[in-house]
Amino acid sequence: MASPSISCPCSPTAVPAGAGAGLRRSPSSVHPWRHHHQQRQQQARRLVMAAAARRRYRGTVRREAALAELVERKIAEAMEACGERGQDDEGCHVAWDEVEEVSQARADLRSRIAEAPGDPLEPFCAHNPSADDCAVIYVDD
Amino acid sequence: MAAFTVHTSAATSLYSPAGTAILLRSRSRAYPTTTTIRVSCSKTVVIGVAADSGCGKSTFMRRLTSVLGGGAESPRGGNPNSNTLVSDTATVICLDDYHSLDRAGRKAKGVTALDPRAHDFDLMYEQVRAIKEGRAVEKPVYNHVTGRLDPPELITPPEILVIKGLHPMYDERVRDLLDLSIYLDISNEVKFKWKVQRDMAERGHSLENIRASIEARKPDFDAYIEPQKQYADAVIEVLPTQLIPGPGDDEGKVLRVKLIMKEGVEHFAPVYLFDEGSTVNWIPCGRKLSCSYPGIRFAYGFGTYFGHEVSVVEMDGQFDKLDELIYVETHLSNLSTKFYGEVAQQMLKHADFPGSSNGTGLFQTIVGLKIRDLYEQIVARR
Repeated sequence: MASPSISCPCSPTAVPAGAGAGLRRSPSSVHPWRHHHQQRQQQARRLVMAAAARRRYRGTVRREAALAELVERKIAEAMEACGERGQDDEGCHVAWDEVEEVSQARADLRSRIAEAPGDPLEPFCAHNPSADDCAVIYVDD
Repeated sequence: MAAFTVHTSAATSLYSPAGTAILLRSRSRAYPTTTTIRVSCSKTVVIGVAADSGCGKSTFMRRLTSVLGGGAESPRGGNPNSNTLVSDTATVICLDDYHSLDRAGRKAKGVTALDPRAHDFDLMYEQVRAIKEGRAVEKPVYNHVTGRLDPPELITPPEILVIKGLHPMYDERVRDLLDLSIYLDISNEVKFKWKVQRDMAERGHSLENIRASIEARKPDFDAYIEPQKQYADAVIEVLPTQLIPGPGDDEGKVLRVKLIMKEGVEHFAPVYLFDEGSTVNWIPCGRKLSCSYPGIRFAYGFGTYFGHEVSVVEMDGQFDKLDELIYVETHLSNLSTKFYGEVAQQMLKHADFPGSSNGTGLFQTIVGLKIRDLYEQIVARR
């Protein structure tokens, strides 16, 4: 391999942060400029991947999961309650009312997430960044 | 011995410049004690909205807060599960916060959320009155995820207070505090279509379930919620369209919407078409205006509604183009707009909202303008 006239950008010290430890020097791509170009491409791809994964607060993710599970559970409870006691029983009415309540809450959360550029917890987390619910995680949409 | 909780959030301090007094609630609710700092002299305008659509940012609330100026957000720094929306001029309170029974309590007693027994109307009345008189309150928060009541949040008197929920007009004392009351009356067929749209993506839901849910809630709804219609100053009634024969429009997008407005309400002049007090049937589509299927049909008339004199404007069909919106706006009167085309502008601004192409968006926007007008009249009178 010819010694490069410019310092090889793929040397450990010159690798920019975020380019990844997985970047190996392939023996076929010998020229430094081609390597640099490949690195740039990989970096760009990583940035694109990071943008596609949405940035969310943990609290929102928890709420979504909790409500989705709650909806399913409440529907099962309602079908059971009405099956056992009949459609006119107040227990049956209450059970379906619960289903309505959690379904509406689920829909509201969904539209809140869809509408805002920020997370629904933004107003809260702006003031309480250290809260457990305000940990930032990435989810694939 | 009573214990006190004082909330000092970043947004408000005990000595706020507006000069508000703070009502501190004691643990034993029977003995509320007031610590007065200063009492504001300007009264808050209170609007009641009866709707069965939960505590989220409903389309009506979004349109309303947009007309009143400023986006509505959850109170900064407060409970993340807060149901309250705060904008520059208005605060929207969800009446679910006044549940006296949480989800477990309601299940134990066998009452739905529609039942008045699940609500604390005394507290609702005290607090709405306090806010109206310029005093801040510690309002409970109902958490829809856990189904329990969370610690209270501080509500400072805004210029306009909107109380939204299932029972804004149920209690007579609360009703008397309202400067204007609105009822959103969705017919069962439309309700079913909208709920299908809302829920079908969820695991566990099916058409039968959605139908069963509506049916199960119907007895309580008819007994406790529907009767409030008679007290409303304005009713927005949403029905299936008559322009498309058969089951037709399955998504509930083409609708027949009526705006029923009580006569003789202070600061509220009903909207009319062409000639006030007459009866009009109008199809704007024709030579001057071309519309796509199924077109638009308007009706205007007067009559009685639960014993009150009312004016009714009705729209059936769908807006397709800006031209149609402006054309229609030109022919409606008493819209309380500040400039020509304001209704069209508001509708366009939120073209992505549900109902933007039919009477629901149109009448919600118009009611928003009426509320603004009412507020300005009341303020001007002081």
